[in-house]
Amino acid sequence: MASQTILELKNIVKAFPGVKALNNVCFSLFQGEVHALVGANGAGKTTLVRIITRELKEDEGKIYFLGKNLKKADVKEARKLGIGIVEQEINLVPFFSVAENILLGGLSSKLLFVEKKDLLKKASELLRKTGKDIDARKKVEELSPSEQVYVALARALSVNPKLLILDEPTARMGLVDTEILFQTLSNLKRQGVSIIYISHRLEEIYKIADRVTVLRNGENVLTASISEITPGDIVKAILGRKQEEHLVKKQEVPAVGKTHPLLTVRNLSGERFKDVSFQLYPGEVVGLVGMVGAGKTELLNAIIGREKRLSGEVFIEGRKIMSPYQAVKAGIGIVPEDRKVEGIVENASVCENITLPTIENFQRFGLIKFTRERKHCFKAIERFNIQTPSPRQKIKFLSGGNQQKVIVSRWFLSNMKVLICDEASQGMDVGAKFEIYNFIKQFARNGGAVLYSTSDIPEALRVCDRLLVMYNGRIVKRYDSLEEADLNEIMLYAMGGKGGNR
Amino acid sequence: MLRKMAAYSILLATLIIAIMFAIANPKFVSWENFCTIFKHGAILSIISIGLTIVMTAGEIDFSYGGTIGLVGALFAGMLKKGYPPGVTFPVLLILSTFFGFLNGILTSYVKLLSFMTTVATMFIAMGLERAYSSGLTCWITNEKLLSIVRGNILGFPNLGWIALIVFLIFFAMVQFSRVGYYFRAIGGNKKAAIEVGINISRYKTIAFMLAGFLYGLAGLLEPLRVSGAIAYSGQNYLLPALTSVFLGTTMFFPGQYNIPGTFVGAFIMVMLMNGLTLSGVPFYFTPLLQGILLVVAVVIASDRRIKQIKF
Repeated sequence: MASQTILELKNIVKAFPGVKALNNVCFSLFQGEVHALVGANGAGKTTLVRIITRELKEDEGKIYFLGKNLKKADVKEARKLGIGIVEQEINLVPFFSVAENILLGGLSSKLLFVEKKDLLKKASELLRKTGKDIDARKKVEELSPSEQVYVALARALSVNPKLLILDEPTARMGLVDTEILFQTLSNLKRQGVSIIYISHRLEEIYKIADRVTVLRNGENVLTASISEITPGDIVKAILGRKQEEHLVKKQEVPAVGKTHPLLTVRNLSGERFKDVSFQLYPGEVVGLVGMVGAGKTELLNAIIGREKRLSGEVFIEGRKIMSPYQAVKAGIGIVPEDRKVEGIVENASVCENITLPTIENFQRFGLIKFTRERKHCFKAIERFNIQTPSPRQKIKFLSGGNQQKVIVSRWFLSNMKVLICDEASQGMDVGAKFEIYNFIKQFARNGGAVLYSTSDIPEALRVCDRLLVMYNGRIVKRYDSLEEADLNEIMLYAMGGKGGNR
Repeated sequence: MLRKMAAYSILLATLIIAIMFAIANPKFVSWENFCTIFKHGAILSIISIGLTIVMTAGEIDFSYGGTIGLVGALFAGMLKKGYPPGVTFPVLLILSTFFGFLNGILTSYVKLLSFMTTVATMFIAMGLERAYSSGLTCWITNEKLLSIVRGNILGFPNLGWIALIVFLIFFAMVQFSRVGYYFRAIGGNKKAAIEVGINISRYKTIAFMLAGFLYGLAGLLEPLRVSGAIAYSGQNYLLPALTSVFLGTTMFFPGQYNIPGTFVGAFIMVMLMNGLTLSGVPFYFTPLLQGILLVVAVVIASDRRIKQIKF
């Protein structure tokens, strides 16, 4: 293997307000190698990649590409030097042709007019390099999601990259397309292109990577040759010391009435998940764990009727759920993934946010009885320990953790029976996290049921009574009790390292 | 197939309505009336083309409601004071382009919403016009200029020729030039444009400036068409121009703002109004009908996944 180093990162430090995203990270890349970059959510993978593409500037440390110091380089210069990227979120202009999208950054024109013939020729050539047969004249909006990844790849190849970064390119691909992509990547590798490959899927990493680097909490905890390391080692590195922490104290066995399920999901299929069935009984917290891109959020949205279902049914106590409105009416409470976008009304007060879904209970003749609403809010603020100077405070001035508590609190005192949480503790400090865990458990012990979706597996072990492990749109493993559940094993399932047949 | 038909439903409907007009009043299908429609539609089409450029780049622009009147008033006033047209034309075109520049800076660099920004600049221009003209009509007596604008070449009105030339230039620019690609890329997917290294702030500003230039041109032609600068003449174009653009999204490049669609859309608008007048419908029905037309166009357009502009 060629061992000339083309990229060298030395002691990179990058901090965002409140978090150290990268702490003294060293990273090197040889010419012609495929280097897998793995790590849990928020471990710093994206930040690291953005520093390499110069979208972000490091606070400290040095970065050399082909012997050149990139300290002052910007995105444009990085592109010119040969750093190409296929981002996780594919951004293309829908009504442009494939060719126009691929070469948008470097349109050549003659007498002010863009040369279309030339465009088509160049684009077709780049597409051929991707190994996927796509008509360059087609409009992008007519392409499948997986084909769009190839267009983005061709676009990345248009800069003649010496370094190609792929951020979970297979998340939206089928088996055949993944195979084509791997073929293409090994071709590129043979031509001396170095590749940084971000993925949550162990089987892929073992298939194509030469080396692997694991990031945890912004630190490089492992760099090793893939032939010298087992999947178990990688998982251990990703999870770190957390293993011991989680050792769950024998929990009080919940009084779960296994006779009448509150929530029934039957053979639910969508675009990103397939044939999911499970039931939620009163008194239990069920974890839905899986890596980002496993299809959890899509599944949850389909359960509440917000996302398109291809087949399958959802019932709350025998009532069929087709829309979010019906879901809430039937007693589903939702704590969404992105609270800024989906959860809170930023400019409304804490009080208004608390009573948002239950405001009907406080009105008479169509007018809101503010004293009652206020009383209720005081109760909620006290019970959920929401740190706010007053119920009239605008919610946007609260910390993330307290905002989340408001969202959770709003569902209590409604007729809610089932709480659906999606990454409920994301971006919260430890104290607030534990408070949320306690509310969730309490709620279940009082006869509710919780579906707790998270990519943080140790957290799931702490909160949940049983687990559903999701990988690539399917439930690949069920743990009916957590007593014999092993953190590493769960992680292996979630990363497709075990039983991960698609 | 059904989609294609829906895309051209506006053209089809126009044809049917045109036949009805022709039955109601045979004068409707005469060369004279054709020329009249072109005379009336020329200025609207120029404004609408300007607006289309901005909307292609993912923004909205209402400033023409003010700048057209301002340019017109200044133009008539300067002619009266004896400035030669060779001075007034470039000066006022620069002024209106500057208004576009202002819109561009405020939206791309100060990062204001283009909706609010351009409504504000519209009122600023309107206020300046009111301050200058005191709301009075200023007549133009320069017969030479008037005759140029009102004249014909090859039996076709000069205003129509001007509109055609503007159309051809800006159609080529938006559809085939690099700048045009950038505009459409920015409007189509801003993130994609940023990722490939397009300076979106700069190109948005350029789009606003091109639009400003065209509004200025319209502002110069309008008083020459009616022999004088009538107060607030820009406002009368607010609704028709917007409607033309949305009518345009149903044609040629369905689902996208596009210059040929807008151009045809503008003349469809004028033809409908002209036909209604010839059929004896009172003029005060005009805004009502235009408003309805706008809603119909937007409904058809939104069905074609136009999500470029968020109000």
